[in-house]
Amino acid sequence: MWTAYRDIMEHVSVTEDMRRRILTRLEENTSVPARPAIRFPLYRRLVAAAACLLLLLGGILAAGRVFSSPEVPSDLGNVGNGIPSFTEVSSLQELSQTVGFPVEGLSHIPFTVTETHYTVLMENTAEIRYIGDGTSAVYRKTPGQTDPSGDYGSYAAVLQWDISGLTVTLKGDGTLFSLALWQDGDYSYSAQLSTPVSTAVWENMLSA
Amino acid sequence: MYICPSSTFSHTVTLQRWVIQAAARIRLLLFHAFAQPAFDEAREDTAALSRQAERLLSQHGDSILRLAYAYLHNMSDAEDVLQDTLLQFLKTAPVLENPDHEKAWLLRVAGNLSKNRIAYNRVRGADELEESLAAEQREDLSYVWDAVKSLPVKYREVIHLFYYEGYSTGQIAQLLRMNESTVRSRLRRGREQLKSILQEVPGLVDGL
Repeated sequence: MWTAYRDIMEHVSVTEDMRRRILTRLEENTSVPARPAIRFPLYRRLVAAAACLLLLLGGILAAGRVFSSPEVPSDLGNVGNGIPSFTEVSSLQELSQTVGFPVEGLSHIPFTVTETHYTVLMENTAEIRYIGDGTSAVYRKTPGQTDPSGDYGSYAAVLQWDISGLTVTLKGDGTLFSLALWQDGDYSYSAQLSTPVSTAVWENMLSA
Repeated sequence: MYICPSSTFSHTVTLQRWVIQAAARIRLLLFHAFAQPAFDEAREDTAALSRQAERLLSQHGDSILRLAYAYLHNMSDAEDVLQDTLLQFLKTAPVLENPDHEKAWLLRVAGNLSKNRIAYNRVRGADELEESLAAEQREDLSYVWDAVKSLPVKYREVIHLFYYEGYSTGQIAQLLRMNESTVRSRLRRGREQLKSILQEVPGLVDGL
């Protein structure tokens, strides 16, 4: 019977056409949309061209200084939107400086932390990953009201728990919980443990 | 003094062209100086994303597609679920420790997306697998597929993960966020139902 079921499932596989379709659509969904071309009136193009000409004729030396400038024009700031980017930094302080808001991290982690990694995700989400012996905890903080955990799975139990005046959403199997989500002011937070723990442990970890 | 109007016009047009060409060259120079590095970075990110998508599709594409098909019984729906699962992975950058967790995450999301489609009655009618088995005149496989299809979703998912993917009941419990006792109970009931459906077909109930 189970051999038959495996034989049946072998009939279902990703074909070359399907692979191409999926990769194309994924690329479309994760790329920056091209900016629409803007046509300016002729006089404005001429004025712009004249300005450029003046720049060329009168500012060759100045251009040398401009080329050496490290600054990038501000209208390029949205290049890369929608593409997950990861920048690992070396300390909590550098993490806070890079994302532009204070990052607190977790305390009273329920295992001995042997490594800590600080990462900036998507330009403004701070992540701290605490690694222990065969276990880990991940803390994320981001501005706004969006869930920063990246965990959109369904859980058998979801409960609201008041910890130090904050309403924390705990997700797990009803007894042990592996994911906590909360908001405080202008920021959203998540903490995820690879090994689920009780509400008491969460309370100890988040109330500190 | 007489000035030929056409000659003046011709000179004006030539000057205009020259100015526009000069401006275009300056813009190109500025683009290479300022914008090109940012675009190169974005292109590298996009390339990295494409490589990630291809890797996920190669390593887990068949497993995700088969699980989705086990839920939905339709290739177009299963393909959509596969694509949406990969998209979620690329956009949310989930925290994962090893390849096993990566596969489990993908299967969990694919399962949830499939169940959402069933809940919202967004499943197409055609079962290409049934047609394929009929065309191959594999009656034994057709019986088994019909029997598995007739099971409730809650039994089908655990049966697929246990017998096809080879997960233990504990792993399935973690993957589906439910108690292990629930998984065991659903496996047992699913097997019993299959047995009663297939008992009239000699040989197919072996191993149930």
